[in-house]
Amino acid sequence: MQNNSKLQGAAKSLWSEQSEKNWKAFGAALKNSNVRYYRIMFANEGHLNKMQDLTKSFAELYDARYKLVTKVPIFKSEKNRIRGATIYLSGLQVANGVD
Amino acid sequence: MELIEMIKQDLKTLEEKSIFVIREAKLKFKNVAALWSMGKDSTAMLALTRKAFLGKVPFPVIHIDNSIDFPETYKFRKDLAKKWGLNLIVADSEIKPDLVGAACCGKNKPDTLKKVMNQYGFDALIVSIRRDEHGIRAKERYMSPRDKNFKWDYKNQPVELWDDYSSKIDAKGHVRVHPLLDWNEIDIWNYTRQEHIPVNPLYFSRNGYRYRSLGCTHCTVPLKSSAKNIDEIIKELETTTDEERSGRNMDKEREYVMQKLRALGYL
Repeated sequence: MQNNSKLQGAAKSLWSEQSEKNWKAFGAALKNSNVRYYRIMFANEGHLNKMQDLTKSFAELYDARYKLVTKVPIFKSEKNRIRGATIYLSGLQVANGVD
Repeated sequence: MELIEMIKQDLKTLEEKSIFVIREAKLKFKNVAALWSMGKDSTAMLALTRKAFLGKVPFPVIHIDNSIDFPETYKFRKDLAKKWGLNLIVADSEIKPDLVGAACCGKNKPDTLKKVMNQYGFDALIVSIRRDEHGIRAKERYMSPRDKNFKWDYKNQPVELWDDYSSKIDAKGHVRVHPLLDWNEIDIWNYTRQEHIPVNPLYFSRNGYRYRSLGCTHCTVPLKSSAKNIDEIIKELETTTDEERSGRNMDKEREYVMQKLRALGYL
């Protein structure tokens, strides 16, 4: 639980600012958490019609019992541009077929 | 002859041909690179390359990274690049969200590839497409020239008789090398099993779904399947009537979309 609290804190920071620094802090917290699965929730059925579609998409993170732990954005803001950030979820498994 | 022996013999023939094409590419061109998507085909191609060159991949391997691939794919890339000692070039692909669906792949990936090809001066690019994947891919040659704008003139291609492949390229153009053209999906899986080639875990079923063809997170959907290992995947493929790329959104958009994309430089 303690570990997941740190992760939730890191996720909160990410929602306010999607910087490299916050993503690295999130990556470290993820390694020490109970999170095992992810599911990406898309805006606009996955079609990136505009940049907001990526910035509105997010990942739900679950523990081994498929209990929702937290939600994180899946992009990072770099100098004047936005990039995806799914690489920071490496080590997790996709939660297929979970409603 | 037993079925298993027939499969082995068939794979041997395919393997020999692919290794021949890969070695020809290395011999004929000055600066070769290979594209690696971390999928089953391009990973099998790298395994064939290692077999062709005594356990090494003697050219750079390019991943066109749009930054929204699956986390499993990134982990697979990291682990296998380290294990096989790959000279990996990660080419950052911009996401241009004003381009929808197929146009996203059709513009972003070739643009990034153009940049990396110009930067490194590659004159040949090994791509792991197969003829059975899509009608337009069936029109490819083993060695297929592209002009400086990456355009492919599929109505005017060199003949390839008696294993004599063209290495002629236009000024500033390049040649696409396709060593897996003759393989089909089951061949790839049989070979992966036979050679113990590492596999991206997304291909295996979890909670009743698996990915049969891998793209990025936004344009790939899993299909219903209970196949949890390669044996079960092969068994499933022997009876399925679904197309391999049925989970790829870009293939569904318009008739001939793939033909248009490939003519413009898509992989």
